[in-house]
Amino acid sequence: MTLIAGALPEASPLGTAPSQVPLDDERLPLRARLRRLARPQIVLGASVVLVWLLVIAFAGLLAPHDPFAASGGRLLPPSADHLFGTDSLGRDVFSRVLHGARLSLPVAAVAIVLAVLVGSLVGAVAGFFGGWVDAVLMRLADITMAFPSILLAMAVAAALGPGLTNAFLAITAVWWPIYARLVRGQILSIKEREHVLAARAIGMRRTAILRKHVLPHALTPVSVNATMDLGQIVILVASLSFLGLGALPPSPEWGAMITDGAANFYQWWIAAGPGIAMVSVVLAVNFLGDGLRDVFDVKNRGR
Amino acid sequence: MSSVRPSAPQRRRTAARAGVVVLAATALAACSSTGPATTDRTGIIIGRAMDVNSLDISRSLCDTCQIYNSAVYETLVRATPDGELDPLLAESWEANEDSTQFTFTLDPDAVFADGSPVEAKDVAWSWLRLQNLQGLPSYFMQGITGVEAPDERTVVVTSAAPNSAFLNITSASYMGIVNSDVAAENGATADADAATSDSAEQWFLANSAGSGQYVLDSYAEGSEIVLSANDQYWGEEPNFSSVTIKEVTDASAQLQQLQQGDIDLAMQISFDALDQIESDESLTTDVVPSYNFLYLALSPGVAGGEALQDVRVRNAIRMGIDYDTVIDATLAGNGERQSTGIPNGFEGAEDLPIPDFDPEGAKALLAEAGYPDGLTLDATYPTFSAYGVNSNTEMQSIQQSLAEAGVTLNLSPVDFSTWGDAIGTTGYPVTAIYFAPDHPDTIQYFQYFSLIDGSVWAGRARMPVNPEENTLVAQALAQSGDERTATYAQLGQLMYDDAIILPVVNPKYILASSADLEGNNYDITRNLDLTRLTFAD
Amino acid sequence: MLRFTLRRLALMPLLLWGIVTIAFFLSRSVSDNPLATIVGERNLGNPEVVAAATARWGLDKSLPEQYWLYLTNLLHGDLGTSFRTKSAVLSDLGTRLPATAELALFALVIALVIGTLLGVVAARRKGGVVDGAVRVAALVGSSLPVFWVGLVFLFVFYATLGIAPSPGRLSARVIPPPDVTGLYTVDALLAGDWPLFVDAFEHLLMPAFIMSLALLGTVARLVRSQMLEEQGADYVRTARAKGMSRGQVLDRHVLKNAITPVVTLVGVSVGLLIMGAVLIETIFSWNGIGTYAVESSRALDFPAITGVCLVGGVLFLVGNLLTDVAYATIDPRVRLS
Repeated sequence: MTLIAGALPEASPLGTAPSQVPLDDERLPLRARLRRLARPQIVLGASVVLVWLLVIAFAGLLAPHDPFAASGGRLLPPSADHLFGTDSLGRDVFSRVLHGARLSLPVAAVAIVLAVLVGSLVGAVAGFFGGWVDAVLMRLADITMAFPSILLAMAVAAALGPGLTNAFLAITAVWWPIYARLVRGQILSIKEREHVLAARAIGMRRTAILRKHVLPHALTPVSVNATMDLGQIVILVASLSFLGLGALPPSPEWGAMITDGAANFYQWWIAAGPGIAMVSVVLAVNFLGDGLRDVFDVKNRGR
Repeated sequence: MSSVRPSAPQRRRTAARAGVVVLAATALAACSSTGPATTDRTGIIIGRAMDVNSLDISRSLCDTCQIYNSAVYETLVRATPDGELDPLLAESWEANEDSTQFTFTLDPDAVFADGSPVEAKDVAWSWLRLQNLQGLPSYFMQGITGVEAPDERTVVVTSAAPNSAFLNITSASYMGIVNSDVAAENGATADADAATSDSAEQWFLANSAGSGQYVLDSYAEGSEIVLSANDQYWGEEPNFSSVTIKEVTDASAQLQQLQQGDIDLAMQISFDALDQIESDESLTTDVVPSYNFLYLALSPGVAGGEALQDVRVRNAIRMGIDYDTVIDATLAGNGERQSTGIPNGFEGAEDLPIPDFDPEGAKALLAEAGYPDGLTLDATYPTFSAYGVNSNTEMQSIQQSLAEAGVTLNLSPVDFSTWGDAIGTTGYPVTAIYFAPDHPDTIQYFQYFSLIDGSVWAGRARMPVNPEENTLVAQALAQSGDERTATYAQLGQLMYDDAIILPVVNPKYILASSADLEGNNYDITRNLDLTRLTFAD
Repeated sequence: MLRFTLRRLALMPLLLWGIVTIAFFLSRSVSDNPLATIVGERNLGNPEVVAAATARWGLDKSLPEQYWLYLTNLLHGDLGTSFRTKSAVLSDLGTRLPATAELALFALVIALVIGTLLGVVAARRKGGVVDGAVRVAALVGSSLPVFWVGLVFLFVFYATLGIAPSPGRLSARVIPPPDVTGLYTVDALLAGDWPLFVDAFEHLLMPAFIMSLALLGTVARLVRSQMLEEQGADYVRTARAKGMSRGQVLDRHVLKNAITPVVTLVGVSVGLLIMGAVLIETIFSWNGIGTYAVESSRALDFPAITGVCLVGGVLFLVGNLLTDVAYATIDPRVRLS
């Protein structure tokens, strides 16, 4: 058992028969693999995510008003013209929510991709070289993970100064160890498999083995875990903004919009719009991730 | 793995257990109707977003400090709501012909909270300490060359130059008198090197040493200030057994808590909620004009503010603010435009020009100054909710209108303490803050905002002193009556032309309290005068 | 077992050292002038404060020497002085920790109790409506931004319906109990003041419930899967064969065995609870470690930030250590490395 990440004794995930053949098994034909994915949970999650991706692509066309300029009166309750009402500056909350998707989701995605890249690299190096390299890198991961994530993110964001860019740097700094551990674990288990041993026996170079045999196998658990974590990171980005350590005004970042809503408490719609949007995104991503986890039989090792 | 269906009795048992849990919870909730022991209703709870920078009277400068200082300490004279001076610690006072020497005679009955008498040496010590600490409120002592105590009851103040405003100035809450023996025991000093050798600031966070109606009971940063009645008080008995100033940051949270009876008085209610308060019979409200104002300050001498060195750029910014829209967004229209750093209604402010929104004129001025394509400036400001105005709303509204004139503001809200630290050291090219009067004399605005020696904002803006303003301030202090008013107006025009302090709005003020509280007020020197407040029987 | 625990304990100082090292270099990297991050910009003009801080933290010495002095000071319990509150960080943390502890413990209890109940029901009706609902609820629970939920709850239950108490630990004008543990509910009971206990309890309910949401689902799912596993175990079949009713077996044996592993969740939850504390305390005017962390971060008060990180790290590590040990003790199948 590992000290921290392995501590969650999650038994077999719900609804997964232990005997199930892993989905990335090459023996399974593609169509059968796709059929496995057609679970209501995954379909629902994926469709909502797709809708949000479309929103991100076409926010400018979909938004009925300018997200930064006053459009009509201030603090108007929801109506046909202003689906989510207007805020204290008379800006259309609905348009701001749509434009906010362009910030929240990509920032979270970039943060997780960075974390995966940094983490995978560290994990691959540690797993492949072993010895003192492994020991040093993994202790560094332990130390980083010993910081409660929000405290470290807050400290880093505060040190770097407010702003969305700094917020995702802070999150990358917090999140990489999870992937380092994951990839390292994968590599350790794969290293001893027959085809890898065979490859070594025929004299393939370490990096080639890593690229051809090891990384492709690590890809599935990493991407499933990344999906699971994406929702968490959307919330963490918004939390930092909510605390005044993330997005700067007049950015329509959802967490910052909820802060505006808290200041105009009785105009409930100002916080309701971005809150509902965030819940729908995070829920969809988590449905998707949870479904994928079941299908691929990957154990979640989140914080 | 076979699924196990519970039998019927099993289900009932589970249900019964769930029932017990619910019952227990209900029972707990029901008990609360009797309520826990509370302090009786002789203590008042005031909700406000606090901006305390220090509880050391001679280092503090903030709206909350005005309330605290005047509750715990006393000044020699007291400014009445209509700007007259009444006796407080001093029973009488006089100034010589040319306003260079002032003599105060102390009330023989006055005692500090520890029972010791308030003596002339305490006055001399307190004022010299204020001067020598070289802190934010030290400017009240500008030009004073000596404070002496020839006997226990007489204080003689001398000024190098005439200072006809000094008596008014002594009514400022920061001029309150500290028990010098007690404070000195705890590290305070009035010596010339007080700025470096005084170490009492921390002690003042937990203790007070004044002669006021209340004493400091406890202070929890970010939470509350609790005052309790001073048993030794030498004058009229205080109206409350305790005064709690509770940190309630948001205007809307203040409203909620006022409506629920968690606070008795809310100091920063938003005008957006006015309908809601007025329709609530358990509350009393009144909207009154105020002498407060919110302003944008430009600092040409600060790194990043180079473009502002051209006065045309500063004027363009003044013309680029859509005042009506900003006043609408922040105060639902309940505010007036103001010329410069002298609030409407103060001596000398009457005929000064009022700024107008003119984006085209602003663009033309910018082009003339060499910025045909506009320019970008960083605006860093504290997150505050003052007089019902939320700084984020205010700045975003200003940002929108300035964009029309070609000025891009990059907004960055910071914590109040961060702002307070940086404004005096690195400074900010553009910032926004607010001001409430400290005493009834217009001179405070020149001493704080104009480009004269020792002015707070001349220093913060890194601007050279304007000799003409220096001369005029000295001249005004030697004058009285209409003559002085004319000089004040002239100075006001110069400040307007400097375009360093750009007032955004002079807001109206909402007095909101529970209906059984009487005498809610807006006070020039005390912000909120606790002596005028009382619970109706 | 003992060797395992000792090894874990031996690792703790290493991890704590790592935390303070990161915090040290983070604070030194913020500003060109380390003094500013120690005493605050405003005090830079005060030679006395500057001299004291310079001596205390060895700022006139080289970086490695400064680092060494910093570690030595920490070992002596000197976390420095917060320039925002102007008092020692250690005492700041001490006065604020009980408020957070009370909230977190209460949230933990709610999560364990409700989570277990849901898990049991879900296991008994595997594949039923409740089972599906628990699964969805678990996902929803971990998908909600707590700060938003807090606002929604305050709006609905406090501002609109008026059935929830105001934000804060006690009602207005209520005098806190004499300070023994710092937990108002416990202190109120110790003082025998029942109404005061009820008041403190009511103020805890809403924030603690919201805090428990993130954890509740995990507990429910774990209990459910453990229950299903246990039901297939030999002893259950034996007991049934001996004539015990299905209900009796479930009650007496399965539940007990299924719940034990839940204990191990307590440690893991520390991180979640700290995250919850930071956001929920901000919304519910709860003067604990969470609000202290937020205010210190906003003010770039590095002595305070380091202190909070250290406390958080210690709690996190202790929680995980307990989890590992508990898990190993409960489940002999786990081989300790």
